[in-house]
Amino acid sequence: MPSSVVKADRTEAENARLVDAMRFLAKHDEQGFAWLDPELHVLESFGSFTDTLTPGAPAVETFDALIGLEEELLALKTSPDSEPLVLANVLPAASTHGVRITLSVYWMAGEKQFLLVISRASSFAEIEFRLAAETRARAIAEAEIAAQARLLQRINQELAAANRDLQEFASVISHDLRAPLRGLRYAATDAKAALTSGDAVLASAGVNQALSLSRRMSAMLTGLLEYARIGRKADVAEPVQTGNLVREIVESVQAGCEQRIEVEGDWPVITTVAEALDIVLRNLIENAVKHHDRFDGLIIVRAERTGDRLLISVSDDGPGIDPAWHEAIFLPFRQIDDDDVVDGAGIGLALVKKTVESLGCTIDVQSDPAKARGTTFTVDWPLILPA
Amino acid sequence: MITKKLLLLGEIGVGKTSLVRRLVHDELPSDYRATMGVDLYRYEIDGVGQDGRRALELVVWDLDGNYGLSIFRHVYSKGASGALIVGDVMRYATLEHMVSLADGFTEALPSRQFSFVVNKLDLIDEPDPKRLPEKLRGADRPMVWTSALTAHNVRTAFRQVSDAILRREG
Repeated sequence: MPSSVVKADRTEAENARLVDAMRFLAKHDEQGFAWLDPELHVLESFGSFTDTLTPGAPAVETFDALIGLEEELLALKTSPDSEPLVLANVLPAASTHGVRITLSVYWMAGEKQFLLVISRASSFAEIEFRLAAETRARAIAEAEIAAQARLLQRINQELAAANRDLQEFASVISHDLRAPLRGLRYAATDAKAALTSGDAVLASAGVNQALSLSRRMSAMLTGLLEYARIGRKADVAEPVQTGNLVREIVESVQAGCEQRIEVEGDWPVITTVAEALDIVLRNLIENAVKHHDRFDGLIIVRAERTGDRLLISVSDDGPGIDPAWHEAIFLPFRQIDDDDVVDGAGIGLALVKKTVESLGCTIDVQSDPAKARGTTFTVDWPLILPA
Repeated sequence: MITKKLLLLGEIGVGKTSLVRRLVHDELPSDYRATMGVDLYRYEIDGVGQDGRRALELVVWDLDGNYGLSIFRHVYSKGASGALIVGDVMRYATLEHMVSLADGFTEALPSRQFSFVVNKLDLIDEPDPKRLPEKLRGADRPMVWTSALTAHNVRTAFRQVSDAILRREG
């Protein structure tokens, strides 16, 4: 037994009793001891967990947890504080009982030997460790469940919105396309009857009517598909020079109309979805032109900054819209005056409203023919569209 | 036979224990219990090295993921010849953490070998680099997509890093 156990100032009997006590503790408290020479070869070992230590063999090559630590162990010899190298809570590869151990290696400067102490890992530390690990794992699992729940909620909301769109779509198709389809059938029936009776002129008129109605239906379907598309794809917000945009739109609309269109106010650079703003401006301006009852009419397109919003208004001095229709005008294919012959599929304002709302904005209409001529549509648009 | 120390690094729950148990015992833990401290495993791997004929005994250190980056200040990481840095393909935060662990490992154990392992491939259709953080995609290190559940590429991951260790250290 190396002198780190046996002391010269004790009697041989006292030393023997001490050694016996250590052996007893090592056996029953599951501790192991090993002495290593300055080059880390095993000199002697006894107690638990030392089965793999072979006298004469390098400890760092035979004991799992010490493999690779030769440099760190040899450095203990020069450490001024005599601090041990400690590996806590290690489950050795050879362990058959799942017993965790703590290894402590000391450099015994007096004896010029290493002392390796292997003991069962503290049960309290084990519980604390496990508790902390399990708590963290649970927190992670809960966070993941919450994230999945949020994702599921978002998917459900999108599905509900998609279902509403689908129902609206189906309703519009079945209701609003029925009228031109019926007209198409009548025109075709009339054309057939005229052909049978030999009236080529009447037959030709019927065919032209059928062609006109099918073109109208095609335009309605195109408008409807564009309507359905709004809000379905992820649009990217970017800086848009609104002044340039509105002037381009006015130029293109002005080319095909008699009314005067003027641009007023403050048109700044904003961060938005350019396509969405184009749809709104273009349809509001075209709508004002289309429903104006005078060739010398005036349409004013104005923008005004207020806080972090841009208020865009399109005003005309046309016939006005009865307040009773202020909601219905935003429905697809609703035209307030069926006696007027107007081109288009009657979906412009519906496109505007859906576009505006898909971006979280609002649209307002001010008009009362009983009090005065004219209509103003106002859209409340953010200067910077949130991501 | 040469014996080398290999670290398994990664956030908790990414599958470090499942990977090494699949390698060593060809089984998975029956229930999830977070590793505490370190579990050691020995595994003999052959057909590695420059000529592909050498054998290497790995002592795999399955470390408690709770340590995070502080593992590199801990004696557990000393003397390691290499590491597998593991992430869970379904948890983006663990993939981001792989980059931090790689930086920490390189600083603490310069010129030692490591590979990235993206685990739980069985939960997606196929390896998808778009799921990875940009820094991980652009890292100049071997990357293996594994499934401890199906054993896909598990042996490959350990073999690859063993090979790299032997080529460097001999």
